[in-house]
Amino acid sequence: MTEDNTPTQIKRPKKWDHAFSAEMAPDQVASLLEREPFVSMVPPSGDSGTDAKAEKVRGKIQDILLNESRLLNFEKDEVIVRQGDYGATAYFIVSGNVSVLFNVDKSALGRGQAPQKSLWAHVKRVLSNPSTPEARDPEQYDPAGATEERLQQGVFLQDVPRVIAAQKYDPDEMGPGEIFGEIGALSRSIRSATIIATCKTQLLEIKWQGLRDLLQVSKPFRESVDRVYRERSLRSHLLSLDLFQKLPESALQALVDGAEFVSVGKRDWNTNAGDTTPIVNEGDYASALLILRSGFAKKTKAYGHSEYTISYLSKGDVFGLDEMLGAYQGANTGNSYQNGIAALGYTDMISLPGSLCDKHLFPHLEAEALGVHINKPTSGDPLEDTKKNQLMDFFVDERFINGTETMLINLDRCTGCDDCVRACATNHDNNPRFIRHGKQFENIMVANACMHCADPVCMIGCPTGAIHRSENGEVVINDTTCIGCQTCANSCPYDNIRMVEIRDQKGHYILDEQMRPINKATKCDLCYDNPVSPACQNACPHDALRRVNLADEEAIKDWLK
Amino acid sequence: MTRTVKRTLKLLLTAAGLVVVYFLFDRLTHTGFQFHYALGWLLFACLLFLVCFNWRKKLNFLPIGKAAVWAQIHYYLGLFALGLLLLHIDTVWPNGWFERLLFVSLMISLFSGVIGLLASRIYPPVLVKRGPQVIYERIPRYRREVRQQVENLLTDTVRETKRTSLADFYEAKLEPFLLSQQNFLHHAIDSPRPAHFWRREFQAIRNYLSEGEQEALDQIEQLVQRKINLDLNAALYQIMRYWLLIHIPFSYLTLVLAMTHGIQIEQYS
Repeated sequence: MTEDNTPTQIKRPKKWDHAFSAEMAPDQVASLLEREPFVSMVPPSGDSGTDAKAEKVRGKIQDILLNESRLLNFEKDEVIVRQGDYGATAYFIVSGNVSVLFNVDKSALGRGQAPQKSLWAHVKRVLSNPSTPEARDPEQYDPAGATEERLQQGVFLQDVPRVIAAQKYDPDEMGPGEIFGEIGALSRSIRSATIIATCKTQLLEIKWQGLRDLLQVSKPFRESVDRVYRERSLRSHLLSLDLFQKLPESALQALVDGAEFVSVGKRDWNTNAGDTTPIVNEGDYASALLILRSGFAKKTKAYGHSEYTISYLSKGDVFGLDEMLGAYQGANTGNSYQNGIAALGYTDMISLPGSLCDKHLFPHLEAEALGVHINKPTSGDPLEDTKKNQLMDFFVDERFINGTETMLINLDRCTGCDDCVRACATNHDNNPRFIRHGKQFENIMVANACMHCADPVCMIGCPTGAIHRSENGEVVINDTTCIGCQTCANSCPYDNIRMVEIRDQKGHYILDEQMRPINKATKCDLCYDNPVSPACQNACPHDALRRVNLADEEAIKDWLK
Repeated sequence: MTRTVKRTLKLLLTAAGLVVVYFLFDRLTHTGFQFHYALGWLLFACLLFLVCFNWRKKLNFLPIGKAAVWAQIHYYLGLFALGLLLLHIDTVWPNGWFERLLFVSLMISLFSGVIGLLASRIYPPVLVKRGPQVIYERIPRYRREVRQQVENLLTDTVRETKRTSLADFYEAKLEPFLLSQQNFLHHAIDSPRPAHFWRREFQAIRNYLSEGEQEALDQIEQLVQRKINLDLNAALYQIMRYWLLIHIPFSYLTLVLAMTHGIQIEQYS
């Protein structure tokens, strides 16, 4: 018997091979283009020059909607998005109305589970793994075989009157032509509110890549989204912080109206990961309360001729509260910032001027909260606990603070047995999704494994949306829609995404029409759909490997003991 | 709770388990219960569970508990099994050749396990202290790179200085050292002797070298330091990995012999 050595050939994957929905038809798109907001996106036609331009824009929008969007129908009280979930899509309201709710009891939202494989399906997959690494079924890349990925979940909010009565403010209503979900989709962050349909509603769900392309195509649309983004983001962001949750409506509105947006550094910070830009210098007059909306900043204290890092600030952290409360209560120490902060790469902040806080924020804070902040120590001694301080510098300087599931290896315990590597390979196409190697501080190694970043910059340039967040927040890659362009691998500042050449089940490389190998991006997915999650941590017999959130200092300290 | 406290508690629990088994079985003897017979089967059950740890490592795709928890159970159950064995044989050297074979096999398995455990506790901090750590599989590549760099340095130096003192030194002493892994036993006990030896050798040759050659020698000395570190990494990783080549086969052999021993007892007692 002779072995079949014919290589498997497929069409080189490209953008829009797999439309978001196979059911999106050109006539549906044509009908949408007659409605708001799409009709306003096309420049008005007049002479032949503007006609041609209008037609070009129309064509682009048509392509985007055909490939990057889909129509969804919701019944009354059906949950559309849940606060706290990650989402890479935004929604245009085609018909019907939706209501915006905050802090709805999670049990009422019917939160879905991660798409976990059954134990049997998992065992079957592992046992039928071909012996060669990175083997795939070539048929999954056939565009004709594309199937609808999302099923209508049909979760309904129970006891709506009670939920609405429990809302602190009257829920906002939105109607046809309006857009929602764009904040979470564009900023790679969690949904800031729960949205439910208030009647039979049709929505156009659009992937963030499509939304980004629409923003590039149409200036008026870009301006309107920017305006809405600023308004909604500010209000919902303030409401998500403990400090503002007990404010009366008038005070909150006054703060929203008087707040300023401050952005420091570049948003695509992965290209200049080493940059720090001072935001506030220690000793400056404490004129405003600063709240981080996104990005990271390091909090420093002067010592000798230099300064040291006390801690770092991330989304939702507040800076300057102690000083401003001190001033409000007439304390002598409260007139200048006790520490400095500098943006790590880039930082977006909300600045609330002192006069505004004195009038609308501090009078509403409870005495207990005031005491906590006033008595909080703001300085330390870098020589008192040198290991802790140097470790903090290491995490901050290398930008590891971005990680929410960072793989730390305690080298004082690691014997190099590679059980973790084998466990990962067993669960992932016979090829481990990390390298047991990485930057080191004394006995702590940050291994080259995806950290499932708070700000996943790898997602920024993906043309197909293959790299995305799962509902539970893991950053994962959809192998079917990945076109192997390497954008994510090049964007990851930590080198944690690897390109692999894929094979068929016989072990032959899968090639395109020009006989070039097909590449796919691979990375740690935290075994999000496996019953053993994460396999690396479970497999370590010496408890030398942990996936940790670097913000959780206590957990790290306990483990290192 | 610190790890030392946890360890002490687990040791106490193991000892308490042994005491309970001893007194319980001893008490039952008055009712016709066969003390050594029961202990033997309990010991066999322990051995069976100890061997399961190896299978847990292979079946890492099943949700059957963390390997770290299994490892802890493995260590203390191994100790418990040693206690059971001593009770089972009444701390007397076995008299039959088969029983002796079983005993020796069990002892080899047990002590190789203890050596493996000690190695896994002692060597990782040594590697951190000596640094930098390297991936074991990459060591041969790094070793070749070091040798290549030394040879390139020598070629350049001989061409520039027209003297062969350094090349002769390389041929006589350095080349055998750079060609393969060296000083396994010294590294196994974390001895500084390899480093001292080469420091002395370099001091000796330095007196006979020109200024240009001395500069090259400084760089070669650094590369030799790297090679010493690679050998240290290789030696310690080899011990931490290859003790299992003794431990696992003897564990299975013990299990087979113990089962045969049990069947014999069932059959002929």
